[in-house]
Amino acid sequence: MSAIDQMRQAVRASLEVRGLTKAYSSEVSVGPISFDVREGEFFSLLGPSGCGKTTTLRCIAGFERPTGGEILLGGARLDTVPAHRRDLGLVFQSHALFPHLTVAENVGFGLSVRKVEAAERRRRVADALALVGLADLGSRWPQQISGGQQQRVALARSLVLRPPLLLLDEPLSSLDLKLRQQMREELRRLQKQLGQTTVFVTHDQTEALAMSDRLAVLSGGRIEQIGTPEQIYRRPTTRFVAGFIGQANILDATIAVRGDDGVAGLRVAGPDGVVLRVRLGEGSGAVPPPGSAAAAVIRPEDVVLGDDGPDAENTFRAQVRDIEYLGEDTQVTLEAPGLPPLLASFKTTRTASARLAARGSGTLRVRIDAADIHLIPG
Amino acid sequence: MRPTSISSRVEGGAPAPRPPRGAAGDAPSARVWLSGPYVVLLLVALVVPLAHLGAISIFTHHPRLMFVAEPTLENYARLLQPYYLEVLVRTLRIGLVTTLCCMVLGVPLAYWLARCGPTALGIGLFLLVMPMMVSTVVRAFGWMIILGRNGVINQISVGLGFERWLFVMNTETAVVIALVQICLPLLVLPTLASIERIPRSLEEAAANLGASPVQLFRRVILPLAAPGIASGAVLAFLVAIGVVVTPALMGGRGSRMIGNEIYDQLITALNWPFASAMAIALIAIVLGAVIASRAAAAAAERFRREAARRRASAGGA
Ligand SMILES: Nc1ncnc2c1ncn2[C@@H]1O[C@H](COP(=O)(O)OP(=O)(O)OP(=O)(O)O)[C@@H](O)[C@H]1O
Ligand SMILES: [Mg+2]
Repeated sequence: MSAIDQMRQAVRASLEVRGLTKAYSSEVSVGPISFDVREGEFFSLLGPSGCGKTTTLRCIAGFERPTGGEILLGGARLDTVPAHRRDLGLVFQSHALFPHLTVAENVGFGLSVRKVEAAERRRRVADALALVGLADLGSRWPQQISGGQQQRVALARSLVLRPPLLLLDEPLSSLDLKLRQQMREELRRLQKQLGQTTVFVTHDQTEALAMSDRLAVLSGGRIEQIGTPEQIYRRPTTRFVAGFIGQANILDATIAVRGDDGVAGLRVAGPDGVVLRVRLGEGSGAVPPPGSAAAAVIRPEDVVLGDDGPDAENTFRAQVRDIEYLGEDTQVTLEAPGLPPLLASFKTTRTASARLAARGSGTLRVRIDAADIHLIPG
Repeated sequence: MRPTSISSRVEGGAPAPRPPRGAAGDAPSARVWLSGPYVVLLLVALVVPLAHLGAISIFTHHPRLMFVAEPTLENYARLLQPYYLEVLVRTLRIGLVTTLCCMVLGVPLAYWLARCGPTALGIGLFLLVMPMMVSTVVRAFGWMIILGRNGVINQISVGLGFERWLFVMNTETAVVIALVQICLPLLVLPTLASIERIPRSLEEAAANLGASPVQLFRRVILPLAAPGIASGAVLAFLVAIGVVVTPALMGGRGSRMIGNEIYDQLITALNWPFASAMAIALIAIVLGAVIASRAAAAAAERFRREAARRRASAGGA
């Protein structure tokens, strides 16, 4: 498609944010925040409300003056350039379409303030509208199109300028669930097609995990962890990340013994705490020395129920306290001696449900693979 | 949110989809009665005197009886005499120049007020509105002290060893200066209200798309604030062409406005029929201005939409 090839010519650039801080008052401040976004990468900032995602994005876009730190785009200082000369694409949560301009005029706004000649402008506007699937709606007013369409117009309005960097601030959060999923896929497809370097802000972890090449998890104005979705989910480095992303059993413990090859014994805190065998995989770092505090992160789906496998490590008998059917998944709260209450989940299949139903007198064999236990600082 | 927002109190603003009248099924006929007291006031205080005025304006002047009920068009014909035509033209000119000056000064001021912090807005609104509490006579004397032949400015220039700088007292310029001060708040308040309703995210979007501050103002703020600016301008114009005291004190023989002529005919010459004819003419101008501004706004909007539609269909082809 020619429109895509045209737009591919966009200057691609990498973004570096170094030690960015923004102090609103003596109590409220964001940062320091540092991260890199590579050329063509889809990078997300994920965190709970008020953690400073929007502030970071607005500093990059130039609407907020950072108190400290620097921002570089393609190696050149960006934070000294006024907002209207940064040439970045920004899509707002509220879309911010101009109500006095038609859809086509909205998309053409950036071209027209750049004095791009009318014929070329029309062509590029038509291409951009086609790109987001709105070729026929150019003559409508923003008030006459749906929320999802407004979102696409806002996107086209930024993309038509071929920005080196696209910034998205919760662009999907005003849409309903179905539309959000559809737009998520579309946005990702478009971003890949164009090789568009993108920074995406969201508080929705599913969105961030599904869309990103890499993401940064923020909390209280600081970055907790940066990594690929898998790293963030499987190998969280802080208690906050482990708890914020998905569900997790976080067990306080101390290192009891340290073996070779990342194998260790972990004594769970509390009276008669059991010892769990842990086998750290590659990239999970070294086991801390015996006696040091650590916390074990166990994902509910890694707690295997009613399993009679040959590996007898980390196997207990547990009492079922509570069962919750969540549709696709079933969640079970277990109680085993020497362990705090443990959350387990499994796909609600016929065999799994039958196994749970056949647990007889109420106890169940539970196993946790030593490689599925992840250690974070205690 | 700004605590001292005036949007809700002043009329005018950015275009917003209007809810259908009498929505949600309540009978509009029942609510008509709520306007009863106002209708009575309107009848007693406006329609009846206006009818009276209209009647007198076609009566014949009588030196002793003031007027006799003999219909004549003489009074209106007299309005067409060169002297009175000149007064009429001057009145309109002063009104237009004043309105233009108010727009040039007032729109940026309104924009600044709408976007400054709540403290500055409070102080700014106070400074803007406070002069309205001072009588126009006092304000005119204030201007005399500043602009007069031996006023503050000329004293400074003479004190610095120059000639007198200013010779504006008793000219049309002096009248316009004083009128701009009177009319400025009338333009600023509706404009401020409509600018306050423009979401800041629109400005940020425009800046993000590369619009310089001037382009942002011209392409986003002005079109969206146009209804507020228009109603403010009409208000300023109407007040400006109806004044009596200001031209009497600030102007000279050559800057008399229609208000001065009406006053003279009414009080000095005791020619009520002619005074009434002039008053009716003034009212007609006022109504004409209101209707013309509405029609112009509607036509501009139609033209803009039409042009946008044509451009879009040309682009789609
Ligand atoms: N203009 C401002 N003045 C003062 N404090 C502000 C301002 N903007 C943001 N803050 C504060 O800075 C912190 C970070 O805000 P920010 O808007 O960046 O959060 P966020 O991560 O985008 O949250 P959300 O998910 O709710 O949008 C918050 O504590 C917020 O109250
Ligand atoms: Mg935010």
